[in-house]
This record gives sequence, C-alpha cells and structure tokens, in this order.
Amino acid sequence: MSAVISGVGETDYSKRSGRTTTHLGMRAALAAARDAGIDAREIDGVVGFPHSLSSEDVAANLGLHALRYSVTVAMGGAGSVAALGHARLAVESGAARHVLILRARNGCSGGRIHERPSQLPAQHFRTQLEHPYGWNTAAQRYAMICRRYLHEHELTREQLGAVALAARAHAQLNPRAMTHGRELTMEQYLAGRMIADPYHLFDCCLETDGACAVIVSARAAADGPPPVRVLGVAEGRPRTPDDLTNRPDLLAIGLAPAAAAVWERTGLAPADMDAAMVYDCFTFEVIHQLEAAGFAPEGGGGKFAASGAIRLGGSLPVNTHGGLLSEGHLSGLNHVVEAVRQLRGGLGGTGLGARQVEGARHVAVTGWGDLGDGSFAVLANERGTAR
Amino acid sequence: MSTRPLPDNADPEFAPHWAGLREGRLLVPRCTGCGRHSWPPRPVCPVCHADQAEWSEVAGRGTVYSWTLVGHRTLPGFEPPYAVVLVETDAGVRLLGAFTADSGELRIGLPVTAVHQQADDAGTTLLAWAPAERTTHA
Repeated sequence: MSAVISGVGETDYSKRSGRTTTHLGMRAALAAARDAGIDAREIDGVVGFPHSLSSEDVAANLGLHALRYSVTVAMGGAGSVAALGHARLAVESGAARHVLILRARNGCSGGRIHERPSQLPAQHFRTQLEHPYGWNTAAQRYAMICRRYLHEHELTREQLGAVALAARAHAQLNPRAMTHGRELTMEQYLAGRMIADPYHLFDCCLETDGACAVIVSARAAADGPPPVRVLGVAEGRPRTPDDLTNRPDLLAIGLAPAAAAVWERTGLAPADMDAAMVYDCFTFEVIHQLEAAGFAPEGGGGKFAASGAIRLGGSLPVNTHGGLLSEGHLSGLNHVVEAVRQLRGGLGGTGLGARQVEGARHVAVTGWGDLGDGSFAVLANERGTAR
Repeated sequence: MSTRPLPDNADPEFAPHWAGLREGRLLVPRCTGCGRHSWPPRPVCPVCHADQAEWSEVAGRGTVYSWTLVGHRTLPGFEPPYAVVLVETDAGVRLLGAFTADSGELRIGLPVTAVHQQADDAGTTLLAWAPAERTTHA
C-alpha cells in the first residue's frame, strides 16, 4: 500500500483570528478533506502535536466514523515534517487509510511566544537553570548557536539579510502571506532593533493565528488532484536533545543525520532538488540547515544565500511562499503545503506565474524544532524518481 | 509571572548547587562510576549509567563558549540590554550566567571567573562571570 499526500488546506493567516484554535483547525481540516476529495469523516488517523488539538478534539469535532490511529509528535517545529513519516508508516502498514496532520494556533493573539505554554522537553532545566539567568525564548537560545557559528565560520549581517529579503520577495507573490504588500529593503533589515544579538527584528519569524492541514492517504481519491508522494522522510536529534548548554557540538543538529538518511534511502542528491522549503524560525537557521542538509558546503551557507541561489530563478529556490519569516508561522506545516502546491504545478493563477518553479519534480522540506531536533523529507510528483 | 524568576532553593535536584553558591562555592555533580563532571544534573550518568552522583566543588574559572545580548524584554526583572553567557569551565561543564562587565568586552574564548551574586533577601545566589584579568589573573 503506497502513501500519497492527497489533500492540503489552510485558513487565512492573521494576527488576530477572532476564533478558537479548534474552529481554525476544523476549517483547515475540512479544506484539506475537500482538496483530497474525501468526506472528512473518513479520516481514521491523526498526527497531532503537544499543546495543539488532540486526536480526541479532532474526532469529536469532525464526527469521525472511526479513529483507528493517533500519535503525538513532540519535536517542536520539526514535528510537521516528521509527521509525514508517521502518517506514511500508518498508511503503508494498513493501520489507517486517511491520516490528518493538523496545526492550529493563535500564535499571535493567544499570547506572545514567551507567554505561551512551552513544548520544550525538560521544563525543569528551563525554569530552574535557565530562566533565572534571563534565557527563556527560542531567539535567545538559538542566538547562542548562531554566535558559535560566527566564531567558527564567516557570516555577515548582509548574508543573513539575504535570507530575510528572499523570503519577503517571495511573499510578494503570495497573496496569503501576512507580509504581502510589504517589501523589505536591506536598509530596513539592517536597521531592525535587537532581539537577541546576533538576531535582530527581521531575522525573526512572524507570529501567526491560523491553521494548516495535510492529509496522507492510502491512495489519491479518484477525483482528487495529482498525488504527491513522500519519497523519503526521516527525523534526527542532536546529542542531549533536552539541553543546549552542554551539548558537545552546538553546531551538530538533528537535521544532518535525517537528511543523510533520506539521501541514502532515495538515491537522490541535493542537486536533484528543484526547490527547498527550509524551516525558517530565524534567518541563520536557514543557512545552518542548508549546510546540514548538504545544499551548501559547511561554512558556505551565507555565501550561498547571498549569491541569489535561494531566490526564485536561482539554483535552489527556498521558501517560495515566504516561509515563517514572511508568510506566517504554522510551525512548518505551511512549508509542506507549499511543497505540495509546487509539485502539483500551476501555482498562483493570474499574475502569479512567477511563483511556480517550472517543471518541479522534487522538493525538499526541512523541519527544525525544540533545541535542534530536525526532520527532512523529499516530496515528488509523477515526474519524480520512481521508487 | 510578575516577578523575576528565581530558582527553587529547596528543589532536591539542584539544591546543593544553589546552597553552594550561597556559600561562595561552585558545586556540580560528579559521577561515582566514571568520575565525569556533568551538567545539568541527571539521575543516571548518560555515559556509564551509574545511578549515583556526588556534588563536587570545581573552580569558578573558564572561558566564554557562547553568548547573547538580549535586547527585547521577555521576563520580569530583566531590563534589556543584558548579556547571557555560556561558560566552559575548567572542569569541563558549561554553565550559564550574567556578565559583570560591559557587553562590548564579550568574545568567545574570553577567560572569566565566577562571581556569586545575591538575587533576593532570602539569600538566593546566582552565577555571574567577570573577565578574568580583572580579578584573579593579572
């Protein structure tokens, strides 16, 4: 039994949804079911995430006929891509036929990032050993990794800015993006106020209300869109995934083994990818992950980004929807949605032809979360390498 | 949370560390099996799986391993800009702390020494790090 991505859906992305996360989640799930050409009540598997909707919430609110499989993935943002692996396993083993992956959040109006319940492991370490020193947000934690990178490799503010500007330029081609209609110049980027040095305002992703859903099915519904396959998917963790401070190498992240596993299993290489959706909680994380996944040489990610390679028309368009930096923060499930749309083709319609990566066959998607957990998938359409 | 977050001095997992800081000593766990110092404290040694550690005094010396300068307020009681430094101690474990000097002096590899800073009237004491040349090393 082979698994395909049969449907994707989402709500509007905004700063203030005015709706509960349950309401948002149901809208996205129903949109994905419509897209898949199935009745949402046929969903019989759910992959969920901590502090999001539970499988019970989904079963009750969608009136599922029979929920047979559910799992909660605790990897922060890396969970969205890792979820594809869990869904695929469930479908290929026969445990479920239509598995829903759902992210719903009032990530802006429901409290800013430091006010929301933390999904991180080892809360005890956070509250007892870290918060007393004023270290309590992702920006502050990952800034330590970035600082270490700056010590070991060459990376300029302008190279980080190239990531932010590419995301913003792509968002101008995406009417769904929260920053659509608001361009960003290098001058504005460089003038951004300090958040947690080396991160300044425009190095940081958006905070978003909204929901996003993906359905993985045993086969594409007859009247559904062309199926997109998950050619390979893997997850990985750094040493001491519950602690950054005493990790032997701060720059060794979970994505590296995950990507290596997918390249090995698929027989594909970075050069085979037509685009990449890279988890962009912060600009540096894009550069770091481009290296960890093999798209840029170690220490060469900044130069790669600034070369224009990551822009539409470049050798590896990255985050053609605008990403977390400029479309919205749906914990990277919106990256999976964008990869699917690129592979279906015909993205955008009127006046948006430029967002489509022409002839795309393979799109890579990365996930990053918690304290450096990683996930990686290669998605393909019918033109992609058969397996 | 409306007041500055402080550690629970009575929490059994970390109490000896905080008690040590109050007395001007720096205590971290050392595995009774393999003898390694480790941080944060864990119930079983991840290296040799011995399930007993003893609290061991280490020298409050090390070098800056990484750092950040926080410019956006996210916790009560912390007024930006303030630095958070991660110091690799001579004992091998890395410990967080505030930085006592101007953040302009911060760089990876900077030698530092521990300073014990009382944080409340109850005697709760936290770590800070000072450039070494200003204290013990000329």
